[in-house]
Formats: sequence, structure tokens, C-alpha cells
Amino acid sequence: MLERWCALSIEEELKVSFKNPLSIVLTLIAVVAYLLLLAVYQFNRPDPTILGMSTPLVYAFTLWIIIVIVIIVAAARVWG
Amino acid sequence: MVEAWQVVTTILFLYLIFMIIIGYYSTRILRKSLEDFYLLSRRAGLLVLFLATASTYHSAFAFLTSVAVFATTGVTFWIGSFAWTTLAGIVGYLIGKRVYILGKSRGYISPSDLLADRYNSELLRVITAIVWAIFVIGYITVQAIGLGIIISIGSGGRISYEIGSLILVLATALYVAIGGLRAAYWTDVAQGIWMYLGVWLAGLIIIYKFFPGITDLFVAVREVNPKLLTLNWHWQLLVGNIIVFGVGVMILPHLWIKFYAARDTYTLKWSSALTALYLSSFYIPAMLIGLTAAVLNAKGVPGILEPGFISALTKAYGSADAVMAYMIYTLTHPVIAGLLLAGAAAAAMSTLDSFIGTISMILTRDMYQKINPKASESSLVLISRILIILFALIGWALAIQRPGLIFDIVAIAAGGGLQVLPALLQAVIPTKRQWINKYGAIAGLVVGALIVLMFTVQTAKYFGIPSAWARPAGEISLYALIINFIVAVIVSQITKRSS
Repeated sequence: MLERWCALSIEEELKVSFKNPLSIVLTLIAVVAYLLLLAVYQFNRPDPTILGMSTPLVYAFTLWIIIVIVIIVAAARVWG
Repeated sequence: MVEAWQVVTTILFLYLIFMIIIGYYSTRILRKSLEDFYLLSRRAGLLVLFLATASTYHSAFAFLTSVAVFATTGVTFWIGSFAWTTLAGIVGYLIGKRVYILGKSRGYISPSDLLADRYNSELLRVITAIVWAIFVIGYITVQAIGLGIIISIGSGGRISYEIGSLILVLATALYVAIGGLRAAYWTDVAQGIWMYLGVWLAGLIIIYKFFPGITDLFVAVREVNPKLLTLNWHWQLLVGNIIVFGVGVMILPHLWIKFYAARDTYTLKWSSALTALYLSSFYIPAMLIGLTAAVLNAKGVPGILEPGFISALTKAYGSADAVMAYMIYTLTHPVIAGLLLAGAAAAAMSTLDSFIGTISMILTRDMYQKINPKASESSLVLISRILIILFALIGWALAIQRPGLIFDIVAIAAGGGLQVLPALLQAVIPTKRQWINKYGAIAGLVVGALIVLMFTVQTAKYFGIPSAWARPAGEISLYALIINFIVAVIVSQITKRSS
């Protein structure tokens, strides 16, 4: 009986859960950020922008910062 | 008068001795059980787990080939790598946590333990072990290539690529054979710090030697080859590489067992978050060095670097992977060069040690122990030690054939490892309906792995596949994964009753 209870509790821990509304928001932001990476082909030019960097590079840096913030907030507030 | 190569080589060997001492010291508290030999008795704290994961993930691939790829394809590598390195951190938590929970509660040691137990299939255990053994050899070879390049360049060509690679590979095998993966965890902490500081220091020194600021670097790159400032992979290759390096590498056995080793889920979540930060930020200085290399390759540096030096290195070493080591050796003070090249060696050794340790575990635990179930723990440790040395030598033997660019070999290895994903996801995420059973998992894995092997540009010729059908490893691995999922689900539905 105890073994069965333990097994059930483990299965419960393994389930994907979105009980915390913040986890839905962060997941959506991360998914959108990764998908937006594909938009880079729309402005894939070497023209200089900030610090002489090209548009696709600045765009990639922006998405990187967004994703890093999502990961840190998720670790602090959502991930158990 | 002490020559530059003597200083650099001395520092490299001192570094090597330092690592062997750490490895030896770790054995003083080694308990002769497989759990301690491989999983640090499941007590890895945040610092150890984070640095071991990050330094194991970043190998000769990060320190050597990334600079070569930045120099030849430009910012493309950053646009892909920031995505796959952050994804690796997310995967490390989302999948890693589930692997950790199951591993701790069921006492899993090898990655195949989890799959065999969840699917109740010893055949799946054996097939997974075989697939990993095949693809992991590529990863081991890559580290041997990197180590050969480092010592050959660091010694100014006085120690050959072949001998240099053998020395460093055997030294790594020695400390892993003595201390098991416990030794690898300890050395990974030192190596993780060393390589991160090394790449940033190398980046800052090399860039500011030639350009007053970052803006000037980008201006120079634009003059030389503006295409280096755009994304030059088509979207299928970009997405494929992100999945292969972001997911595929994280579920390879050498990183999988890091999930088992975690002390608790708190440790695992912060290790994952810090890993994402570490891995992605590592490529910023690598990008700046790579772009500097591209400019210097076009213009040359009078008396130091000839224009077109990248082509010359490619001719000498069989790929452009030597660019980073060569720039460090020729452009920095010998003491700095020694320390930085030791950082590069750290990147390769920290992955090599985990790989040879893990593959020996898989073969000991999933093959030998099944054949000889009454074997004592001491004899299993002995078999593991023999396999560690054997796989290190196999990797070296392949490396001296100079099989090509590290990036391509790693992509094949990770692409093959990625094919375990469908079986793993079904095993760690409970669903109302079981989409994949043991037959589906086996069929999907075999089909996916075969597609990667047969249709990748570098390996297609060995299977008689026309070159027009072959694709880069990142792209073909993505197609293989999709087919793998479909095959796994269809076979599972067909065999539902018997399962």
C-alpha cells in the first residue's frame, strides 16, 4: 500500500502543471521569443546599428536578454 | 633565454599535473560503490552540479570550433547558439527534474536504467546503450582532436598533434580511472571556472590589441565581409541545430547522469538557470575573437599573421578548429597564452572525462552486469576502469585520422543522442494515454539513429547514399526526430495489445 502511495505521489510530481498563472505567462513569453527568432530573416541585413552591430545581431541579443530574464524569474518564482 | 613554446608547454603540463592531483585527491574519499563512483552518492551541491554541467556541456566545441565557425560564418553562430544554450538550461530543469525524481526514488544509476524500468524492457536498455556507444565515440574523438591541436600549437609544433593528443587523453583517462566520475566532478569545477575566465580574458586581450572598441571591430568586419554580420543558415538548419544542441546534448548520457547526481530539486533548478547563463554568455567573447580572426585573416598582421592564415591552419589540421589556439599562441604573452590554452584544454578534458566515465558505466551496468549479474561492486569498478582507458584510446585513434570540423562531428553525435527523446518524454511525463510503448520506443530510436547516420553529409558516403540526399547533421537530425516520433507512435498503436 505504501509503495503504491509513493508511486502515485511520484507520478503526481512528474505531471506538467500550470497551476501558477505566472508559469503560463513565462511559458508563453519563452515560446514566443523562440518563435520570433525565425522573424530574423525579415531583416537579415548587415547595416550598422547600436555599437556597429548588424540588425540580426542586435535582434538576437534582445531575444537572448528576454529569455534569460524568463529563466531567472522562472527559477525564482515558478520552478519548484 | 626561455622560448615562448617552453613557457606555454610548461604551463600546460603543470595544469595537467594539477588536474591529476585533484583527481587523485578525490579518490581518498571514494567509497567503492557504483553510486559513489558515478553519481557522487547523489549529493552534488549547487556549485558542483552547476559547474560540472556547464563545463561538461561546453567542450572543445565551445573553445575551439565556435571561434572557427564565428570566423567563417560570422554572427550566424551567435544567433543559433544563444537559443540552444538557453534552451539547454530549460531542458535541464524541465526534463532533468523528472529524471532526478525517478532516479532518486528508483535508484537508477545509468540512463538506460530509467528507460528499461519505465518500459519494462531489457531490450530497450541494450539498444539504447548501443546507440549511445556509437554516437558518443564521435564526442570523445572531438575532445581528442581539440587536445591534439592545443598541445601541438602550444609547443610550437615540437610535440606532434598525435603525441600531444595521446598524452592529454591518457592523462584524462588516468584521473577518471582512478577517481571515477567523482574525480570528473571535482576537476570539472576547476575546469569550469578556468575555461570561462579564459575565454573572456582571451576575448578582451585579442580584441583590444587590434581595435580601440567593439564598434571598430564591427566596422572592420563590414569592410572585409559584410555577410559575416548576417544569418547564413537556412531556417531548417537553424531550427535543427537549436534542437540538436539545446535538447540533444542535454539528454546525452554524460549530462543525463548529472540529473541523478543532484542533491535536491532546488539545486537542480538553480543549476539549470545558471547553466543557461554560463553557456550563452560564453559565446560573446568567442564571437568577438572569431570576428577578429576573420578581419586578421583578410588583412594579416605584419610579421605575425599572414593573410589567409585560416586556410593554412585548415590544411595543417584538417579543419579550421585550430584558429583560436593559434591566435592565443601568436598574439598573447607566453604566460597568458599558457594559461588560456590550459583553459581550452580544460574545456576539452572536462567533457572527455565525463564521456569516457559515462560510456564505461553504460557498458558495465547495462551490458556486463546483465551478462554477469553476480559480479561484485569491486569487479564492476575494475571493468569500468578498463573501459575508460579503452574508450579514451579509441577516441584518440579516430582523432589522429583528422576526421574534420569539430562542429560537424558534435552535431552528428548530439543528433544521434537526440533520438532518445520520444522514449524519454513518454517515460518522464505521465499522460492519460500511453502514446509510446516499448516496441514503439525501440522502433523509433533505431529508425531515427539510422537516418542520422545514413543521411548526414559526412557519413552518407559510407552507406552509398547519393550526396544530393545528404543534409547537414543539424537538419537531418530534426527530420529524423520527426520520423522517429511518428514511427514510435504508429508501432506503439499496432502493438498495443501485446504490450
